Amino acid sequence: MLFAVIFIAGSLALPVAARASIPFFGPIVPEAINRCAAGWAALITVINDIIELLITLAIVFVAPITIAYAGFLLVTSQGNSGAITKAKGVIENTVVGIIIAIAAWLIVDAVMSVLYHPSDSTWGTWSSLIYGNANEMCLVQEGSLQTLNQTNLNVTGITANGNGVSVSGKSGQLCSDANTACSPASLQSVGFNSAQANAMSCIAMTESSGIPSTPPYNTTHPDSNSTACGTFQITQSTWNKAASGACSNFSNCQNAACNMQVAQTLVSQSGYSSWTCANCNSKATSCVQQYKQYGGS
Amino acid sequence: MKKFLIIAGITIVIGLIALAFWLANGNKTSTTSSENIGFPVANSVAQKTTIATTTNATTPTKDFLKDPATVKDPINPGYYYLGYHVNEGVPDPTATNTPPYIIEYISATQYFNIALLQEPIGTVRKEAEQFLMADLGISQKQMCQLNYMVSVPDNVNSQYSGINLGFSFCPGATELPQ
Repeated sequence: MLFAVIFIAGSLALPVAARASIPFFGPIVPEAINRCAAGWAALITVINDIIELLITLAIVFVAPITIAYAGFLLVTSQGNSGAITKAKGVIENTVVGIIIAIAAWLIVDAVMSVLYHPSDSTWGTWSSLIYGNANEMCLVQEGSLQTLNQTNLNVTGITANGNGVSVSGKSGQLCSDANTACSPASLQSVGFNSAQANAMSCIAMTESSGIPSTPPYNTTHPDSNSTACGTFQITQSTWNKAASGACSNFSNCQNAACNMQVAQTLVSQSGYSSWTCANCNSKATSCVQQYKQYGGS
Repeated sequence: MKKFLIIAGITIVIGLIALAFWLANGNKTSTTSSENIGFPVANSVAQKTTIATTTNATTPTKDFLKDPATVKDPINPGYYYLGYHVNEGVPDPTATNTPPYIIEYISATQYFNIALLQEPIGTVRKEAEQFLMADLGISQKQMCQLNYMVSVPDNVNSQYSGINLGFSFCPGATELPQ
């Protein structure tokens, strides 16, 4: 009877307990706290971890020892009814203790799951239900609210002293020198002059964040007709007019080198009109104006 | 003994209820995964590597290039995508057409380029930060020392486009609407 109850209860509790990380052997303090100032979620997680560790210790270490002790009492009882009764009492109390420990945890967890997220498809432990957002694991640092600091600006052709990049006006930053898809140096290597390279680097930042794999716009926005693709978001019809050689097929629009090459041809043919046209890019014109003064057309 | 039976009975009832919820939850989860939404999970990779920082030093990180969540750009050699990535004409079941953000890594220059592709960009930036921090296994302080940019294209948010927004927890970061 006793084993049957333990087996049934254990079988039913196992899936839930497994989901909730019991048995739990640490670490009690989440790894994320070592990377930042602990927030509300971190505190709740630590409390939950302590509870899970105590339950684990009770089941994995304390219960086996007490059951072994009861077994020892039974073996050494030699028919003594008092010793046998005591041994049975120890076993019974151990089993009841385990059940109460798991049941209490399960009751709290189940009730909070129903109260907090009755229709949520992703259950969590009670602790994750309380904070609800892993972003709360860290406190927001005061430094994040300071004025934009241009530590990443190593611009070819101009000095990043704040005068040329108009950061306070929130416009006109160039792709990083480390971004080979649109850095001024990369653009100069395909034929842009210094001013054009800076202007086009600035345009690439606003068009695609300097990511060459940006797919044709209408593949990510099926309701749109725009085929704008790649680092400079060149449309298929524009591409077909300017592309040549190995880059001639529009399927190369996600190729960083082809996108730079086609952009260079377009600028040499018709200036920046592919980007400064009405409803094209709200910041392209200011990019061109901003970098005109730095040595070029 | 009577007390024991009552407690055991209550436990079994609770267990049955919990099991029902768990099974219901399991069904929903399997439906979601079959839709292949491409949600990236930063796996733990035991091997370590080092990345150059803006302070002319290096910082130890997980060997994220060996992480299953990292994919090579099939078109641009030396470019990698950490987590979300788009389709580039090559069959790729893990690609998604509508990623909330893209984390691109250029191995030649050890540069991380993060593009926020959905609103609210403040929330998306935090998601990208959390993913990258877990993927690299580094602290916020180390994150701020990476050679990186966080920006948003004009067609996603014209107000904040064209500037390095920074990681939210780094000095000088631009505060964004959540």
